[in-house]
Amino acid sequence: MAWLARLRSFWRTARRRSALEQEMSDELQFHLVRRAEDLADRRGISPGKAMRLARLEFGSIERYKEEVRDALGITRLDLLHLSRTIRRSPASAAAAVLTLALTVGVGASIFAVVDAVLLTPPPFANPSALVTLGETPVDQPAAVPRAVPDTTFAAWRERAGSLASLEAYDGTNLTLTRLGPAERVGAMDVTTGFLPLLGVTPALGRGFGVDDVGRPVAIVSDGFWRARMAGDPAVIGREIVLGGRVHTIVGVLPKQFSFSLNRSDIWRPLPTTPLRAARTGDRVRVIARLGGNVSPAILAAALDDVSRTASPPSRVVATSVATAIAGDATRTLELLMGAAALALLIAFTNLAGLLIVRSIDRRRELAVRSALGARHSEVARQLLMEAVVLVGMGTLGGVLLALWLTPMAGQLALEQFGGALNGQVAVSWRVIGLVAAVAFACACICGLLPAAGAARWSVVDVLRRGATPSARELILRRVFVVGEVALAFVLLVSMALLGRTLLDVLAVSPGFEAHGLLTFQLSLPVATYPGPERVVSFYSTLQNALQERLGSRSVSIVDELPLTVDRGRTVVSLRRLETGPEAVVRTASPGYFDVMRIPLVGGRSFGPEDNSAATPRVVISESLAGRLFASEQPIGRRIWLAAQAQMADVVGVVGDVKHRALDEALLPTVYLSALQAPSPSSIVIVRSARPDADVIAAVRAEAARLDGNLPVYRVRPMQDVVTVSPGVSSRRLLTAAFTASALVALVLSAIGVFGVAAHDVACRRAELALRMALGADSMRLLRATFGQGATLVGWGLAVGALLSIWAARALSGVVFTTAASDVLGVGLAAAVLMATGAGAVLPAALRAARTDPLVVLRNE
Amino acid sequence: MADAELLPGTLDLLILKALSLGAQHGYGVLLRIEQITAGALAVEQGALYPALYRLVHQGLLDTEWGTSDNNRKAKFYSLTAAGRKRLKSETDRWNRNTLAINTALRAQEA
Repeated sequence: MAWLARLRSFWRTARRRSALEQEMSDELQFHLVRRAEDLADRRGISPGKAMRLARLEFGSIERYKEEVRDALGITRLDLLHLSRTIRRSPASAAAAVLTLALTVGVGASIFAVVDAVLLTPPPFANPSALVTLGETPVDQPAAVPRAVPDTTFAAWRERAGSLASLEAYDGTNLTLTRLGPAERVGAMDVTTGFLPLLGVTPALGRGFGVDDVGRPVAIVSDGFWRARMAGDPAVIGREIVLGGRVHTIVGVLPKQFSFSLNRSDIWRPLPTTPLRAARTGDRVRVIARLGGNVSPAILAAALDDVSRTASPPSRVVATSVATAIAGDATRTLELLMGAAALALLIAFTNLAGLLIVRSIDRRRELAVRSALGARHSEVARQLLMEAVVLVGMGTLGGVLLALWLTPMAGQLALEQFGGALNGQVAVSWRVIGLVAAVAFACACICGLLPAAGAARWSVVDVLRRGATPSARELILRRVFVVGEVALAFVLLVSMALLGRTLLDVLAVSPGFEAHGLLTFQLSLPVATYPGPERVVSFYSTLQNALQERLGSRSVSIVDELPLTVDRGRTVVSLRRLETGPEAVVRTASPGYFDVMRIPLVGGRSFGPEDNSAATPRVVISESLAGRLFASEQPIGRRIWLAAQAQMADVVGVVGDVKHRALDEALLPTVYLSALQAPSPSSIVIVRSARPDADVIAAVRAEAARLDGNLPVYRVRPMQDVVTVSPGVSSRRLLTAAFTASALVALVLSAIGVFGVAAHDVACRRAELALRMALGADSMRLLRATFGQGATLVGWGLAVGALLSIWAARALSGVVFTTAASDVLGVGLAAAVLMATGAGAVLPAALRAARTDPLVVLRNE
Repeated sequence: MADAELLPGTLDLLILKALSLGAQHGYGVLLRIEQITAGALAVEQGALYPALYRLVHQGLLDTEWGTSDNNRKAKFYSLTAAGRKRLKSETDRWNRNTLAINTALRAQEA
């Protein structure tokens, strides 16, 4: 236990040190008292005067204490050396360490997330050869690549040949019953080659064979097996009920496996094309393993003509699995890292500035020491040591802070990036290693800059010039303050742009009134609700019962909420089998537009008469009406829905809503009547004046009365759906991060400007006094000091403006920039910094103006 | 006080000599040096303490907290056996050196 012995010796030294300090103080005090007594006796002066004289004779007590410490050889590698550093300028040292700890802590937490999302490869064999394949319509090249019909998958597979092997999967949710309370679980239906393609073999049991297709068998995740089946070693062959159907478990996946693109606990064989053929509109997601030397682009090109002839004509998009998993998280995380790095840079700049000032203050001591034979390398080492100690404390504090922050960051990351996490968000050795490396490098720079300055001093210079720092040091100090101001400016501009964009996005109308809406998810298992009639009857009964309890115009049912997904689309045209614009398909029950407060533009909304006895009827959104009918009257016209393979009557036109994100373009929408095309998985929406708790209780009670095995889940206010929707949550996060960094930067640059101004005035007291004596008025001195502060801030703004161009480019994907918002952001940032700078210079300027020439010149 | 500069290394020797006459606190050491040099050598007050601590560190002096003549708590220094030995060897060396230098200086004058 060598480290234990070392720790003990360190502790002993530490205790001895504080005892020594006390002893020295006592002893020197005794000396001064005795000396004063002697002086009073000998010269017959008052005790007070004698004491003053004794002190004057003795010289600097601190300096001799310092020499005692040196004599004992405890300065060198003694970590407690820092206690002196801190005692001399406790406030600035504490501020430097604190800001360092704060920025290092936050930076490390963000890096832990980056590590888990971007730097940890997905847990598959040779993940770099895996790509996801999807389609985007030719007329919407920027759209998110989407799943493809079974037929496309089959054609792709044939076309790919030896270029790549292709497998398909389809994520779904199933109700799990008879294993505790009924619960919704994520499930994946996969082709039999899917798990082998990823290079995953079950830890228990077997994978899927060709014979399993169409049979009720399942492989479960390690987490499910442990949590729901108590890690039963005899799990193979056990039966679970999924969606009302008995499934036999044939395998358990290994613990470290997770498929981040679609997390799920249950894996089942995907029915092959003929079995699924009856269900039109079903789509699968495709993953491929590239053969040697095949790039994603080559594969996409080889498959392209299959998709070009599809409806709508599309292009194949091949995305590496790592990129697909990271998705939007990459940009957000890069920007977060950027904010954290800037904050860290400011903390280090601040520290470097502090160390320079301190080396200037200590120049006499250091010069004398080097004159007495200490080599420059020793002096440099001492300055470096000081930097290392300060940085070490800050970093240690930062790591502790990170340990506390990271679980929260992990939670946030899970909410924000969901599937994108490839590993644990934790303060790993990798994170600590990086932080330590960065901190050490910065400590070296911060420590060596003043040391390099110190190497140039000669005793003669120091003694001649006294405490006046050299021009070089002053410039260096100024450079650091200008750097701080510039960084603060960049962060303020970024914050302004982000904040402005966030407000803009939040001001975008989603097309409905989110406030006051509560939503509840329900899912009817196919086994208990085999046909559309059963589904329609369940939801109609539920809606009627709830309307009776909560009010007739307060309840409706829809298959998917706005601002969540944009899945489920169809090509819409005026004639059968023609091509036309693509529209999102939603299934809504009577009263939906009323409850959501989506404006009815023409015709009527759905009513009880739009049921299975009637011809298919649809309500379309304004933008779809415009695309299809231009200025003609759409009500009463018939349209062709390709995915549903049917003609339908348009009975109404409503306003458009945002389907996925507030900052995305409007997508044309077609609403089917829930009484004609019911969805087993649906969402109950309630707008009621009653307290939320009452409404939640009512919905649960009515659902349970109809079916005791039915879970009501994902209960949330619509407002929350808006808040976590893609365009809003990442911007909210970024705005918060940049605001925090900008505030730290602002405070530190104010301290920096204040420090330089105060130091300047202190050094120039004699000069100022002389000027005053020669007739300069105080206003002039005030102006001069302000002018110097303004020069510092001005340089900072100029450098910051240049850096801001780069920052604005980095942010361009996230902020909506217009010339006006740019000018506003830049102007605001400049104004804030100038005001802060003026505030920081003010105390020094007032001191300069109040210089009393008589007092100063007498003292000099 | 007639101010003569202390030669490097002489302060240690003077301290050892002063303490060879009995234990004394820091200020007492200062006074005793003034006394035994008849005020001919000025010792910078503060410089005394680093030298004292150094000698303690080298094991030549011992320290003990006691009470001073007018009843104040003070730290007393005394010679250790090693200190006594060092005083003797340093005195010898000093004498040899002075002799040599004196001889040399006289030779130059001649």
